[in-house]
Amino acid sequence: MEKTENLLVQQLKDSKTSQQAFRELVSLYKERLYWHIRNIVKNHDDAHDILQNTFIKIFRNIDQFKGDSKLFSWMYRIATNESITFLNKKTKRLQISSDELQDSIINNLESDVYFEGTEIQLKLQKAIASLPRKQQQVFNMKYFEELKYREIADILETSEGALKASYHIAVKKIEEFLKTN
Amino acid sequence: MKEEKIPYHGASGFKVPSGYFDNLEDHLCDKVFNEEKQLDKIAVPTKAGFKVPEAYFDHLEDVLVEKIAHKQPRLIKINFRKTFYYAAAVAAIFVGLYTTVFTLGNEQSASWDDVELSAIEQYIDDGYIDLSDTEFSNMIIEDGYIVEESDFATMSSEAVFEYLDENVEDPSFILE
Repeated sequence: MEKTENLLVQQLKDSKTSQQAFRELVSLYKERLYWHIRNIVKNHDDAHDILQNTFIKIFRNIDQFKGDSKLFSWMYRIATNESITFLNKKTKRLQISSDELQDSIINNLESDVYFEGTEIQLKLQKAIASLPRKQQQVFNMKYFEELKYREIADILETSEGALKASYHIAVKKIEEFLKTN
Repeated sequence: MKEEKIPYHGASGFKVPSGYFDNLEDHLCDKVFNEEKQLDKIAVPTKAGFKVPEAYFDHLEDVLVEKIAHKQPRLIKINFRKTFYYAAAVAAIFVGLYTTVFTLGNEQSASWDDVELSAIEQYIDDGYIDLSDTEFSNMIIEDGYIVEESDFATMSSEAVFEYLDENVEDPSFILE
Protein backbone atom coordinates (compact mmCIF):
# COMPACT_ATOMS: atom_id res chain seq x y z
CA MET A 1 0.00 0.00 0.00
CA GLU A 2 2.82 2.36 0.86
CA LYS A 3 4.44 1.70 -2.53
CA THR A 4 1.12 2.39 -4.28
CA GLU A 5 0.75 5.59 -2.27
CA ASN A 6 4.23 6.80 -3.25
CA LEU A 7 3.56 6.05 -6.89
CA LEU A 8 0.24 7.87 -6.73
CA VAL A 9 1.92 10.94 -5.22
CA GLN A 10 4.57 10.90 -7.95
CA GLN A 11 1.89 10.71 -10.63
CA LEU A 12 -0.05 13.56 -9.02
CA LYS A 13 3.06 15.74 -9.10
CA ASP A 14 3.70 14.96 -12.78
CA SER A 15 1.61 17.21 -15.04
CA LYS A 16 1.37 14.48 -17.70
CA THR A 17 -0.27 12.00 -15.36
CA SER A 18 -1.79 14.29 -12.73
CA GLN A 19 -5.34 14.27 -14.04
CA GLN A 20 -5.61 10.50 -14.21
CA ALA A 21 -3.87 10.18 -10.84
CA PHE A 22 -6.31 12.68 -9.36
CA ARG A 23 -9.21 10.61 -10.62
CA GLU A 24 -7.72 7.58 -8.89
CA LEU A 25 -7.16 9.55 -5.70
CA VAL A 26 -10.78 10.69 -5.63
CA SER A 27 -11.99 7.18 -6.29
CA LEU A 28 -9.89 5.79 -3.41
CA TYR A 29 -10.73 8.38 -0.76
CA LYS A 30 -14.00 10.09 -1.70
CA GLU A 31 -16.26 8.15 0.68
CA ARG A 32 -13.95 8.17 3.66
CA LEU A 33 -13.27 11.87 3.35
CA TYR A 34 -16.93 12.64 2.70
CA TRP A 35 -18.12 10.87 5.85
CA HIS A 36 -15.34 12.40 7.88
CA ILE A 37 -16.46 15.87 6.77
CA ARG A 38 -20.14 15.00 7.12
CA ASN A 39 -19.65 13.89 10.72
CA ILE A 40 -18.28 17.35 11.47
CA VAL A 41 -20.69 19.60 9.56
CA LYS A 42 -23.75 17.25 9.56
CA ASN A 43 -25.37 18.84 6.48
CA HIS A 44 -24.94 17.10 3.08
CA ASP A 45 -24.74 20.25 0.93
CA ASP A 46 -22.09 21.77 3.19
CA ALA A 47 -20.18 18.47 3.25
CA HIS A 48 -20.30 18.34 -0.57
CA ASP A 49 -18.86 21.86 -0.90
CA ILE A 50 -16.13 21.17 1.65
CA LEU A 51 -15.27 17.84 0.02
CA GLN A 52 -14.76 19.53 -3.33
CA ASN A 53 -12.64 22.28 -1.78
CA THR A 54 -10.62 19.63 0.06
CA PHE A 55 -9.80 17.63 -3.06
CA ILE A 56 -8.98 20.75 -5.05
CA LYS A 57 -6.71 21.92 -2.23
CA ILE A 58 -5.01 18.51 -2.13
CA PHE A 59 -4.43 18.62 -5.89
CA ARG A 60 -3.08 22.19 -5.90
CA ASN A 61 -0.81 21.62 -2.90
CA ILE A 62 0.45 18.12 -3.67
CA ASP A 63 3.96 19.51 -4.24
CA GLN A 64 4.00 20.51 -0.57
CA PHE A 65 3.43 16.92 0.56
CA LYS A 66 6.84 15.75 1.64
CA GLY A 67 5.92 12.23 2.74
CA ASP A 68 6.56 12.89 6.45
CA SER A 69 3.20 11.34 7.18
CA LYS A 70 0.93 9.06 5.22
CA LEU A 71 -0.95 10.62 2.31
CA PHE A 72 -4.16 9.50 3.95
CA SER A 73 -3.31 11.39 7.18
CA TRP A 74 -2.36 14.53 5.27
CA MET A 75 -5.63 14.46 3.31
CA TYR A 76 -7.69 13.86 6.44
CA ARG A 77 -5.93 16.78 8.11
CA ILE A 78 -6.85 19.07 5.21
CA ALA A 79 -10.45 17.84 5.32
CA THR A 80 -10.63 18.45 9.09
CA ASN A 81 -9.19 21.95 8.79
CA GLU A 82 -11.50 22.85 5.91
CA SER A 83 -14.51 21.67 7.93
CA ILE A 84 -13.52 23.62 11.04
CA THR A 85 -12.75 26.73 8.97
CA PHE A 86 -16.18 26.44 7.39
CA LEU A 87 -17.89 26.25 10.79
CA ASN A 88 -15.86 29.16 12.17
CA LYS A 89 -16.74 31.31 9.16
CA LYS A 90 -20.40 30.43 9.60
CA THR A 91 -20.39 31.57 13.25
CA LYS A 92 -18.80 34.88 12.23
CA ARG A 93 -21.24 35.38 9.38
CA LEU A 94 -24.26 34.64 11.57
CA GLN A 95 -22.69 36.44 14.56
CA ILE A 96 -23.41 33.59 16.92
CA SER A 97 -21.24 31.43 19.16
CA SER A 98 -20.04 27.99 18.10
CA ASP A 99 -22.34 26.42 20.73
CA GLU A 100 -25.31 28.24 19.24
CA LEU A 101 -24.28 27.08 15.77
CA GLN A 102 -24.06 23.47 16.97
CA ASP A 103 -27.54 23.76 18.49
CA SER A 104 -28.86 25.21 15.24
CA ILE A 105 -27.30 22.44 13.15
CA ILE A 106 -28.67 19.71 15.40
CA ASN A 107 -32.13 21.29 15.50
CA ASN A 108 -32.19 21.29 11.69
CA LEU A 109 -31.28 17.61 11.53
CA GLU A 110 -34.74 16.40 12.30
CA SER A 111 -36.16 18.07 9.21
CA ASP A 112 -33.11 17.32 7.03
CA VAL A 113 -34.06 15.11 4.08
CA TYR A 114 -30.63 13.50 4.21
CA PHE A 115 -30.98 12.41 7.80
CA GLU A 116 -32.94 9.22 8.27
CA GLY A 117 -31.90 8.64 11.85
CA THR A 118 -34.09 7.21 14.56
CA GLU A 119 -34.86 9.04 17.77
CA ILE A 120 -31.87 7.47 19.50
CA GLN A 121 -29.58 8.43 16.59
CA LEU A 122 -30.78 12.01 16.82
CA LYS A 123 -30.22 11.94 20.56
CA LEU A 124 -26.72 10.60 19.98
CA GLN A 125 -25.99 13.53 17.64
CA LYS A 126 -27.20 15.92 20.34
CA ALA A 127 -24.94 14.18 22.84
CA ILE A 128 -21.94 14.47 20.51
CA ALA A 129 -22.73 18.15 19.88
CA SER A 130 -22.55 18.77 23.64
CA LEU A 131 -18.88 17.69 23.70
CA PRO A 132 -15.91 20.02 23.21
CA ARG A 133 -14.79 20.12 19.58
CA LYS A 134 -11.69 17.96 20.02
CA GLN A 135 -13.66 15.25 21.82
CA GLN A 136 -16.27 15.34 19.07
CA GLN A 137 -13.57 14.77 16.46
CA VAL A 138 -11.98 11.91 18.38
CA PHE A 139 -15.31 10.26 19.05
CA ASN A 140 -16.49 10.51 15.43
CA MET A 141 -13.21 9.18 14.06
CA LYS A 142 -13.02 6.30 16.50
CA TYR A 143 -16.68 5.35 16.78
CA PHE A 144 -18.21 6.04 13.38
CA GLU A 145 -15.18 6.03 11.09
CA GLU A 146 -13.49 3.17 12.99
CA LEU A 147 -10.01 4.60 12.64
CA LYS A 148 -7.21 3.23 14.80
CA TYR A 149 -5.73 5.39 17.55
CA ARG A 150 -2.44 5.38 15.66
CA GLU A 151 -4.16 6.78 12.57
CA ILE A 152 -6.10 9.38 14.56
CA ALA A 153 -2.90 10.43 16.33
CA ASP A 154 -1.25 10.97 12.94
CA ILE A 155 -4.17 13.01 11.62
CA LEU A 156 -4.67 15.19 14.70
CA GLU A 157 -0.94 15.30 15.46
CA THR A 158 -1.41 14.31 19.05
CA SER A 159 -0.36 11.33 21.19
CA GLU A 160 -2.25 8.06 21.32
CA GLY A 161 -2.46 8.29 25.10
CA ALA A 162 -4.13 11.69 24.95
CA LEU A 163 -6.55 10.34 22.36
CA LYS A 164 -7.46 7.34 24.46
CA ALA A 165 -8.15 9.57 27.44
CA SER A 166 -10.15 11.97 25.27
CA TYR A 167 -12.25 9.15 23.83
CA HIS A 168 -12.83 7.65 27.27
CA ILE A 169 -14.10 10.98 28.62
CA ALA A 170 -16.27 11.49 25.52
CA VAL A 171 -17.93 8.12 25.97
CA LYS A 172 -18.63 8.82 29.63
CA LYS A 173 -20.23 12.15 28.80
CA ILE A 174 -22.34 10.64 26.02
CA GLU A 175 -23.46 7.87 28.32
CA GLU A 176 -24.48 10.43 30.93
CA PHE A 177 -26.28 12.59 28.36
CA LEU A 178 -28.29 9.67 27.00
CA LYS A 179 -29.29 8.54 30.45
CA THR A 180 -30.42 11.97 31.61
CA ASN A 181 -32.14 13.14 28.40
CA MET B 1 21.82 3.38 30.29
CA LYS B 2 21.77 0.36 32.52
CA GLU B 3 18.22 -0.44 33.47
CA GLU B 4 17.73 -0.78 37.18
CA LYS B 5 15.02 -3.16 38.20
CA ILE B 6 13.60 -3.72 41.60
CA PRO B 7 14.96 -7.18 42.57
CA TYR B 8 12.29 -9.84 42.88
CA HIS B 9 12.75 -12.46 45.45
CA GLY B 10 10.47 -15.46 45.12
CA ALA B 11 10.86 -16.21 48.77
CA SER B 12 7.42 -14.98 49.84
CA GLY B 13 5.83 -18.25 48.65
CA PHE B 14 3.02 -16.61 46.70
CA LYS B 15 2.17 -17.88 43.21
CA VAL B 16 0.30 -16.39 40.20
CA PRO B 17 -1.73 -18.09 37.48
CA SER B 18 0.18 -19.20 34.41
CA GLY B 19 0.65 -16.34 31.89
CA TYR B 20 -0.88 -13.83 34.28
CA PHE B 21 1.58 -11.03 33.57
CA ASP B 22 1.70 -11.76 29.82
CA ASN B 23 -1.79 -10.43 29.06
CA LEU B 24 -2.14 -7.96 31.90
CA GLU B 25 -1.81 -4.84 29.72
CA ASP B 26 -4.51 -5.94 27.29
CA HIS B 27 -6.77 -7.01 30.10
CA LEU B 28 -6.46 -3.70 31.91
CA CYS B 29 -6.86 -1.66 28.74
CA ASP B 30 -10.01 -3.58 27.87
CA LYS B 31 -11.40 -2.94 31.29
CA VAL B 32 -10.58 0.74 31.32
CA PHE B 33 -10.89 1.66 27.68
CA ASN B 34 -13.43 -0.74 26.23
CA GLU B 35 -15.92 2.01 25.79
CA GLU B 36 -17.73 0.18 23.04
CA LYS B 37 -18.99 -2.30 25.61
CA GLN B 38 -20.18 0.57 27.76
CA LEU B 39 -22.05 2.04 24.83
CA ASP B 40 -23.49 -1.37 23.93
CA LYS B 41 -25.02 -1.54 27.37
CA ILE B 42 -27.09 1.56 26.64
CA ALA B 43 -27.83 0.48 23.04
CA VAL B 44 -26.07 3.32 21.28
CA PRO B 45 -26.42 2.95 17.49
CA THR B 46 -23.27 2.34 15.47
CA LYS B 47 -24.49 4.43 12.52
CA ALA B 48 -24.96 8.20 12.56
CA GLY B 49 -28.16 8.16 10.48
CA PHE B 50 -26.88 10.35 7.68
CA LYS B 51 -27.65 9.51 4.04
CA VAL B 52 -26.62 10.89 0.66
CA PRO B 53 -28.52 11.58 -2.56
CA GLU B 54 -28.89 8.59 -4.84
CA ALA B 55 -25.77 7.83 -6.90
CA TYR B 56 -23.96 10.74 -5.23
CA PHE B 57 -20.59 9.01 -5.21
CA ASP B 58 -20.90 7.55 -8.72
CA HIS B 59 -19.95 10.70 -10.64
CA LEU B 60 -17.89 12.57 -8.09
CA GLU B 61 -14.63 11.86 -9.95
CA ASP B 62 -15.99 13.45 -13.14
CA VAL B 63 -17.20 16.54 -11.25
CA LEU B 64 -13.87 17.07 -9.50
CA VAL B 65 -11.69 16.35 -12.55
CA GLU B 66 -13.76 18.94 -14.43
CA LYS B 67 -13.07 21.49 -11.68
CA ILE B 68 -9.31 21.02 -11.65
CA ALA B 69 -9.18 21.00 -15.42
CA HIS B 70 -10.81 24.44 -15.58
CA LYS B 71 -9.16 25.68 -12.37
CA GLN B 72 -12.47 26.81 -10.94
CA PRO B 73 -12.18 29.13 -7.94
CA ARG B 74 -12.91 28.02 -4.38
CA LEU B 75 -16.58 27.50 -3.68
CA ILE B 76 -17.86 30.19 -1.41
CA LYS B 77 -21.48 30.18 -0.45
CA ILE B 78 -23.00 33.62 -0.84
CA ASN B 79 -26.25 34.48 0.75
CA PHE B 80 -27.59 36.44 -2.24
CA ARG B 81 -30.71 37.65 -0.48
CA LYS B 82 -28.73 39.19 2.37
CA THR B 83 -26.26 40.80 -0.05
CA PHE B 84 -29.19 42.29 -1.98
CA TYR B 85 -30.74 43.75 1.17
CA TYR B 86 -27.42 45.29 2.22
CA ALA B 87 -27.01 46.86 -1.23
CA ALA B 88 -30.59 48.18 -1.16
CA ALA B 89 -30.02 49.69 2.31
CA VAL B 90 -26.85 51.45 1.14
CA ALA B 91 -28.67 52.81 -1.93
CA ALA B 92 -31.58 54.03 0.23
CA ILE B 93 -29.19 55.80 2.61
CA PHE B 94 -27.44 57.46 -0.33
CA VAL B 95 -30.75 58.63 -1.83
CA GLY B 96 -31.86 59.92 1.57
CA LEU B 97 -28.62 61.82 2.06
CA TYR B 98 -28.77 63.27 -1.44
CA THR B 99 -32.32 64.53 -1.08
CA THR B 100 -31.67 66.08 2.34
CA VAL B 101 -28.03 67.03 2.90
CA PHE B 102 -27.14 67.88 -0.68
CA THR B 103 -30.25 69.94 -1.31
CA LEU B 104 -29.94 72.04 1.87
CA GLY B 105 -29.84 75.79 1.19
CA ASN B 106 -31.58 75.45 -2.11
CA GLU B 107 -35.00 75.95 -0.67
CA GLN B 108 -36.69 79.23 -1.60
CA SER B 109 -38.00 81.21 1.31
CA ALA B 110 -41.56 82.25 1.13
CA SER B 111 -42.38 85.97 0.93
CA TRP B 112 -45.47 88.11 1.08
CA ASP B 113 -45.36 88.34 -2.70
CA ASP B 114 -46.33 84.70 -2.85
CA VAL B 115 -49.41 85.21 -0.73
CA GLU B 116 -52.68 85.61 -2.63
CA LEU B 117 -54.80 88.67 -1.72
CA SER B 118 -57.85 86.51 -1.24
CA ALA B 119 -55.96 84.50 1.39
CA ILE B 120 -55.04 87.67 3.23
CA GLU B 121 -58.61 89.00 3.05
CA GLN B 122 -59.90 85.73 4.41
CA TYR B 123 -57.32 85.85 7.18
CA ILE B 124 -58.46 89.37 8.15
CA ASP B 125 -62.17 88.53 7.87
CA ASP B 126 -61.63 85.57 10.17
CA GLY B 127 -60.37 88.07 12.75
CA TYR B 128 -56.82 86.77 13.00
CA ILE B 129 -55.47 90.29 12.49
CA ASP B 130 -56.87 93.42 14.06
CA LEU B 131 -57.00 96.02 11.32
CA SER B 132 -59.27 99.06 11.26
CA ASP B 133 -60.96 100.12 8.03
CA THR B 134 -58.62 103.08 7.75
CA GLU B 135 -55.57 100.91 8.08
CA PHE B 136 -56.90 98.49 5.52
CA SER B 137 -57.83 101.15 3.03
CA ASN B 138 -54.39 102.60 3.32
CA MET B 139 -53.01 99.49 1.75
CA ILE B 140 -52.49 99.81 -1.94
CA ILE B 141 -53.55 96.83 -3.93
CA GLU B 142 -52.11 96.20 -7.37
CA ASP B 143 -52.73 93.11 -9.49
CA GLY B 144 -54.16 91.31 -6.48
CA TYR B 145 -51.05 91.81 -4.33
CA ILE B 146 -50.51 94.33 -1.55
CA VAL B 147 -47.97 96.95 -2.49
CA GLU B 148 -45.86 97.98 0.45
CA GLU B 149 -45.01 101.59 1.23
CA SER B 150 -41.34 100.84 1.00
CA ASP B 151 -41.79 100.07 -2.67
CA PHE B 152 -42.42 103.77 -3.25
CA ALA B 153 -39.05 104.71 -1.89
CA THR B 154 -37.38 103.14 -4.89
CA MET B 155 -39.67 104.75 -7.44
CA SER B 156 -38.30 107.63 -9.45
CA SER B 157 -40.30 110.92 -9.75
CA GLU B 158 -40.41 110.48 -13.52
CA ALA B 159 -42.19 107.16 -13.11
CA VAL B 160 -44.71 108.75 -10.77
CA PHE B 161 -45.51 111.60 -13.16
CA GLU B 162 -45.80 109.13 -16.01
CA TYR B 163 -48.26 107.06 -14.03
CA LEU B 164 -50.35 110.06 -13.05
CA ASP B 165 -50.35 111.31 -16.62
CA GLU B 166 -51.68 108.01 -17.90
CA ASN B 167 -54.14 107.23 -15.17
CA VAL B 168 -55.45 110.50 -13.75
CA GLU B 169 -58.13 112.19 -15.90
CA ASP B 170 -58.30 115.51 -14.11
CA PRO B 171 -54.87 117.07 -13.99
CA SER B 172 -56.04 119.64 -11.48
CA PHE B 173 -55.48 117.08 -8.72
CA ILE B 174 -51.80 117.04 -9.47
CA LEU B 175 -51.54 120.80 -9.43
CA GLU B 176 -53.28 121.07 -6.11
